[in-house]
Amino acid sequence: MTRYLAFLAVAVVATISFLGFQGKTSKDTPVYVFDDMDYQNKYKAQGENALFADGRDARPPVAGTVARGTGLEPAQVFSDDFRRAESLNPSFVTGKDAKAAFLAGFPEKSLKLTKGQPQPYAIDADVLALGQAKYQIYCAVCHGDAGDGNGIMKVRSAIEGDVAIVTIASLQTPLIRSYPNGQLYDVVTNGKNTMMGYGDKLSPEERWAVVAYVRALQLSQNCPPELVPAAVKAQIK
Amino acid sequence: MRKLLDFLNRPATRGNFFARAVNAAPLQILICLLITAVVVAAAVNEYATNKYLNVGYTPDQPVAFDHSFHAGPDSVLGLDCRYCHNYVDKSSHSNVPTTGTCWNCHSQVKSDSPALALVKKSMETGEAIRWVKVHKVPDYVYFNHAVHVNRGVSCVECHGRIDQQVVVGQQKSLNMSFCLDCHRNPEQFLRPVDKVTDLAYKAASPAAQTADGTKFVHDWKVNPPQSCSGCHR
Repeated sequence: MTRYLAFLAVAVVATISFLGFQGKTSKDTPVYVFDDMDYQNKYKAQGENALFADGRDARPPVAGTVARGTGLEPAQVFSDDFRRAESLNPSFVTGKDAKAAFLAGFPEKSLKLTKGQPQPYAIDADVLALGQAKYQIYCAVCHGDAGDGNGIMKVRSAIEGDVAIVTIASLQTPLIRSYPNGQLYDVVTNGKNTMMGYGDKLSPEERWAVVAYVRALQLSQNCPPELVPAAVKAQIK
Repeated sequence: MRKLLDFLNRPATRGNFFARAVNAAPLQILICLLITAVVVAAAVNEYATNKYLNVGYTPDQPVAFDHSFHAGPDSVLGLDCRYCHNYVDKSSHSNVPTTGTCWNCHSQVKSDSPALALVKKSMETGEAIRWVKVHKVPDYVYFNHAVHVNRGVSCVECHGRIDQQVVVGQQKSLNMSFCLDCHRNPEQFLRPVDKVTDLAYKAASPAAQTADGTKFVHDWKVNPPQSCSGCHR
């Protein structure tokens, strides 16, 4: 018995010294003793695939693909008179009118379809809140919370001694104030100078919301006295 | 114990076929079996679950991206999680960012750093960077990031304080009981949607968390599935 218990104690010590305890960090891929169907041979998001030349599971969508999650029924999509919202209302996606000039204001129609027709688009508090949320995630990094171009990128590039410090635009300049909305939308979508486009990150609705929020920021930094609420005026004085 | 063994090994009063030590054998075997059972149970409990097998998995990545520098309000840059993982609130899959996302800033900052050589090459050739996936659930589990993130389940609940990690490793077990802990008591975990990417957020007190959480469960009609088909298909 003593010998057996001694053997057991040695086995326990050996196991612990070899395997450690829970939470031990390791660079080794986790071991699955019974992997059952944990790993299935199927296409996964951002997966690797030797079958295709680019080595990716993800395939680019065929032209004219209708995205899932748009609330459209298959019968609708495959009917003869079906048109994608983007083709019915292209200026919402491009920011340009039929003559390829930038929209001065916001688009009149949205991408929401009712009975196959785009519905009116309006800027309301929800749109501004969406624009604020997206602006603070994607834009404030460079342009700053107030749109003055003093985001963290400027600070860091000054520390690192890189060139970005001179190229980050303030959104409060007269030039950018004078841009038509469609041009702001175009910059958000496709980028400008050293700024890359955010069309892959933000949907058209979100981009217009960001444009609306930028307009609000511009107003906040250059507000005519008659538009300032009385309560705020009292605080300023 | 000594006395008991002496008693069991007492001299036989009659002729005995077996050696005296055999008298104690059944008890000794029983004790050894019990101790062995306890040790085996402890070993299974320690080693045979995700808490040992998966937690702590911290692989080297092709590019040494430091989350603690880039992400979270307390970091140097203070980026929101969604700047890079931008589909997390729109898609079931939370994407690893495109190389272009890195290049939004790094085309201007430290673009010639040797640490970013692979990013630069990927940008020039279009070849993907082979990031190593850390957090995995089995392929028969269908976890939807968007529905969780848009209903006040923070990144931190499953991924831990990524904003404090230099190299990302798995911090939570992600096993089924882990999921069910929250699905059975969502009010203990839900937070305001605008605090989802604030990994340091804590409600003022446990009571406040319960009160807030109960309100969110009611207002957002949160009804986490506990049936098999909720997550498995």
